[in-house]
Amino acid sequence: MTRKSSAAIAPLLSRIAAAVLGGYLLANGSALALAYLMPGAFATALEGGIMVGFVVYLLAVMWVFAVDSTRRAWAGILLPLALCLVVVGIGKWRAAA
Amino acid sequence: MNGSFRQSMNWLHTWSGLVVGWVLYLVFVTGTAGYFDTEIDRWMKPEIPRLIQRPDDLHVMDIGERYVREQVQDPHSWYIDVPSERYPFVGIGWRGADEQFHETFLDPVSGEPLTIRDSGGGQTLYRMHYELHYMPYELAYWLVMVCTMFMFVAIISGIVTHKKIFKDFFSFRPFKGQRSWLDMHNVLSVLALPFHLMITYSGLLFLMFTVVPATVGIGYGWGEQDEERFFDELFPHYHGEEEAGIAAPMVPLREVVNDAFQRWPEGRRELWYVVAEHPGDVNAHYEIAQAPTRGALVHDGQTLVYSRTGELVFTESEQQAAPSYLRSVLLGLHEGQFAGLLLRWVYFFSGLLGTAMVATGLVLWTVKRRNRAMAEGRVDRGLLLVERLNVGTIVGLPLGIAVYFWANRLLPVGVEERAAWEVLAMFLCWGLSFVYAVFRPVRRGWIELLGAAALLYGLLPLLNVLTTERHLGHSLPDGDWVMAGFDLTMLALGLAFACAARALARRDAQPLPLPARKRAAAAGEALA
Repeated sequence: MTRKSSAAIAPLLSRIAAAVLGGYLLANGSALALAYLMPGAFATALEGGIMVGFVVYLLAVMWVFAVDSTRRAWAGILLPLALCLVVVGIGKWRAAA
Repeated sequence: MNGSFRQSMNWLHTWSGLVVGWVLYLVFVTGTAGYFDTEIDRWMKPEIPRLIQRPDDLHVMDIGERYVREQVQDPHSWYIDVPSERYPFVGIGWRGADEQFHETFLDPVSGEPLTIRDSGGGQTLYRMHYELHYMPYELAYWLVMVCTMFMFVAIISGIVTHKKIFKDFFSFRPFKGQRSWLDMHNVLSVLALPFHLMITYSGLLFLMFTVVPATVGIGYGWGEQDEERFFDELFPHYHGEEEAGIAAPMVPLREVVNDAFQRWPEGRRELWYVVAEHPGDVNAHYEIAQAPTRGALVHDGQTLVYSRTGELVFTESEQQAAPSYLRSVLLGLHEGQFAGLLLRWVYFFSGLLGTAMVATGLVLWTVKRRNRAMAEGRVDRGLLLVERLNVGTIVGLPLGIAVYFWANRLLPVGVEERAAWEVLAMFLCWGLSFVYAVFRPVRRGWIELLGAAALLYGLLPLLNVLTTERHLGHSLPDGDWVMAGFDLTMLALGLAFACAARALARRDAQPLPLPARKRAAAAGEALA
């Protein structure tokens, strides 16, 4: 990975955004989704979810820089994030009902 | 990215480590010192006497209660901290009628107040590893968390980069330039790998609720009360009544402590601290905290809450759900409070290995870049920047800490804001190290600052002879190992810095092989 021309910078920035911001959102999303899925008191389930969330963040960052296209990098973040949001949505709806 | 998985992980390892490397270095250095925080406290506050024998808990309660009754006017709350091996004094703290927090220390036997110089001690270094300094702590928490997450990525991507991690562990090829730096970085990283992994992941868990406010927001709601509800569920604790402003007598402390002792099994009747909330008010209560079992990884002391009239009103639960328990275990491992003397040294050395891992990683980056810049014969601005930041931080920070210790002995005892001056001396020295690094050729900068660190650390025991009675001449014959241990550790650090300076100066004296010299001439500035 030697010197980059400005044309090569944009995909790199896109990946850094996917890793740092996308990874952060996914870490939050997975923490919450796990909290709704885990049995027991919600507070401790959320605590456990956040603990797992850091590992999710780590894996997300590694994924983003390991795959060979920027599109796949983003897809690997956004699809799981969408899944998490669905789980959280159902969880909140069931908690309200 | 492009190329094999291992290559892309190598790229990730390099850059995630580099961008936050200097902050991580600060965190490792001050965190490592933090394993001996109270020992550093006691060297920096030599007025604290040695604890020969642990006094009876009830005696401590009596002298603490007497001090509060006679010396403190209408406090809103107060606590008595029971002396232990590592805290050889009675600590009294209170929130006064002026709403300010005050603190004083008593001799555990006579109960007389100790006159102790104002010093940041080891606690300031320890707090620096997660609160940094000169900034609001919330900002510091975020910064430290971001850097720790980078470190987590750097460690794991560093591991998967290796083809033969076991073999790399046994290979060290000295005096081979880049190869040697890589070997050294590998050995240091792998040697204490379980420690590095544990310390990084558990480090994330300490401050984790700060950085994911949205999880609590979505789960509980976004208000302050919603957040409180979450923490109440997570850590059940006693909610006292507000201060009513109506005076009422309290049962003597001794009475509730005796009652607590009756409820605890024999062998566990040891206090940790006691608190009185709204003392003298009709809504007052006591909190009586039991000391944890010696060597317990997870805190196992019970806290009993007593009303003003001496009735037990709340028992803090020891039961923890699985996630909380796992988190407590990891936090316990990170802090090492359970560790005895030997294990505490193991922690200290593991911390030093982590420090050296970060430092060699930063140096390795410059060695690689320098080789390439020389081969291509061009000036590399990134390299120039990192080289300077390396000298200024890797040597400048320890140099600053040495100055912190010197300031502790040299600043007049009566100076206002003395503790703040000590820290200022440290940061001034660190800042000056950057300036120095900019204006000196890189290699000379390394050698000269390393030499200065060797002198400042090596001479600290001598400074101690000149400024206190508790120097090696007394501490060694008396078996005062806290004071002697600090002085001897400083001597060892001085020696280590001297060896590093000498090794660099020696290599400097050897002529470069001819082709390298030619290339160097072509590279011009880049080599400076």
